[in-house]
Amino acid sequence: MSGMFRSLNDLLAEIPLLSILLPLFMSAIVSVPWNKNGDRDQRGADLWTCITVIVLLLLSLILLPTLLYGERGVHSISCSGGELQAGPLEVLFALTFSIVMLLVLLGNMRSMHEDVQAPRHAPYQGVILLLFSGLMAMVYTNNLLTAWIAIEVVLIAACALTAAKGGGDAARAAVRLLVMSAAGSSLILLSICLLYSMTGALSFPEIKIALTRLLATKQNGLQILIALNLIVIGLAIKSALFPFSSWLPEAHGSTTNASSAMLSGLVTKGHIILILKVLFRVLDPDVIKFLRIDQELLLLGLLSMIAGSLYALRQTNIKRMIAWSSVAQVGYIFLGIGMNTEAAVAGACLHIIVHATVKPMLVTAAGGLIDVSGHRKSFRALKGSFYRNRWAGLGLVAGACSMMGVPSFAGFASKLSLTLAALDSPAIIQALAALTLSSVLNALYYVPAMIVILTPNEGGEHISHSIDGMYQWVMAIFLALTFFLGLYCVPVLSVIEIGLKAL
Amino acid sequence: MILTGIGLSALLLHRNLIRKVMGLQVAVSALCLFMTAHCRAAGLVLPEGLLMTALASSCALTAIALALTLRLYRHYGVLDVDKLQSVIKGHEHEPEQEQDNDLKHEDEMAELWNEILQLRHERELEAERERELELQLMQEREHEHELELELDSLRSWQEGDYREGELTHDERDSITLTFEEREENRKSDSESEERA
Repeated sequence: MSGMFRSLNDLLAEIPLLSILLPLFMSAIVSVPWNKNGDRDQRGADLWTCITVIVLLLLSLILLPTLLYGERGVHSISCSGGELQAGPLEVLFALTFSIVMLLVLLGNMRSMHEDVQAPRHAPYQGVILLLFSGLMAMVYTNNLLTAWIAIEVVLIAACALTAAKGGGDAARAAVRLLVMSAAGSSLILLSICLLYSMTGALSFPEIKIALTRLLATKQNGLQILIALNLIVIGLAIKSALFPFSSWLPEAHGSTTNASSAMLSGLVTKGHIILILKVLFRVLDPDVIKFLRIDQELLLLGLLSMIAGSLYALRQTNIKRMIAWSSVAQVGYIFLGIGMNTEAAVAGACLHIIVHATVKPMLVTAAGGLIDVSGHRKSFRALKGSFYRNRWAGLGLVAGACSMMGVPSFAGFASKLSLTLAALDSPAIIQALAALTLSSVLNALYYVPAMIVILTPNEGGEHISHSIDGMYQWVMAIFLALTFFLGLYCVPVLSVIEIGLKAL
Repeated sequence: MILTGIGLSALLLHRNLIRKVMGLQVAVSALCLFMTAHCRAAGLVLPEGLLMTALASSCALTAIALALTLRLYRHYGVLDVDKLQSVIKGHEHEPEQEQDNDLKHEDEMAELWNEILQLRHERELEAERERELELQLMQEREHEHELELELDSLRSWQEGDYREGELTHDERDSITLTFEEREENRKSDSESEERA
């Protein structure tokens, strides 16, 4: 009996590896054109992509309770010789990514078929799975080599997803994304090389031991500071933190709805999770404070919160506005990490989950409204679109309320926890001022957007566009998740706190 | 490290897209060289996995970057980033004018996109109609084939190939007799019944 339990535990320990390899394998299978009939290939690719994501969702659901109620209080498992590690926080992120990816795929299926037609559709689905595999590797990695591979896989997949729609605009956006991200990747690689040359190790625990020894003997202080700053800046470029965020609005404006949702909801979050892992698994909070990395992140976060909102105010295109809003929301996360207290980092993790859920909902809702407005993205054309697609309108209103921090919506929970954390932080004045100002700015661009879509367009051209049942279901689930995170955030926060202790 | 700096500055500062791609390659290759040299000097184990991944991923990125650059060149006819911006947006506009241009551009794009969707829809309808016609044609062919078979059986019967006993009297009559003959037979039958 005990042997059976041991084998079951061994099996559970391989779930992180399976979460990376399964989508990688399936991406190769899905991309191959199996039939001469392109239509059958498209349907098969859609089906297998969704099945793969559902399998990963189920695996995360199985693993989470096992880690939360683990034997002898052990909340994390390592597999593949310590290359990967899974704790409650990692599995919670993997679960969120799986749910959001599934909803994005199902909700944007129709627009994906319209934007990316055969024979490119099946490879497009393959690239989505490749991206998912890279994100899972980012979540579960315990090693700089695996992290680097994941970063490169996500970069390649993100470029392909951005360029998938075709045309000059998409190519331009993809080139901008590639140049910015490649610069970030080079900085990260340089940092990895420096860290390896100082410590002779690539795995996080070994680097932590070596760095602690070096800092205790006051050796290579400047080199360590440069290496850690380079990796943080490299990952900040990829997380679309201001002033490195110009690639995100460009990509949003010219790519498919599904790609937009994945870029701002999942890709940016994957890199932020990697920053969290590098900082808190390689360094102690005291060392972070000593090296003043937290102050840099706090400053960049504050800048991003304000600048992102100011840029969003200037936009006349709804997708660009949502993209700049993402930049502002990423700033909130960095603010939480920069405050460098347990409660603030937990608030930042909650905001990662909230933003990873709400932003794809906003993008999917905006896509639905654009579809019923003659494929025009300007606010002028979106007037009265709420009445043409009520589910999309509801999604946009709920998402906007969440981003503004209206009580009972998801964003309120994370902003409240960040505000409470700011009260105990040394940077109380800056943090509270930025939180208030950014919330007001959020309201200044989201409220007019809501007014525009809710104002009936009398005398305007009537554009008929049927709405599929799946879209309505997806929006309903998104709305339910938004309210769940807003009203029942305490269990999620407690999982995050356990996860942070096990990190 | 100097080479890496040169590569990164080319990637970020050069206006030509091809030079940017070259900068990326130079930066990654320089980093690999640095690592190899440093590991040899310091007596560290060479992280082959990391270096091979870095080289392979930089090759993949270069391929994607060149493909995108080619697409941009075909679309806009320029490789310089500044010229590309000016080709897309026109030279320095006033903000309001720029916004109006953006809206016009968006309207044009939306109209084009709607036209594309309309054409796709028409193409789908046409394909469906073709499929229906093909189905109809197949049904007609099947019917024709059945009629041919019937005709063959009739011909074979006329030639006396049929075997006695396979068809009943009435069936044989229904196949062989013309309408008038059948009417006459019916009349004669009814008369004989009346007589009886």
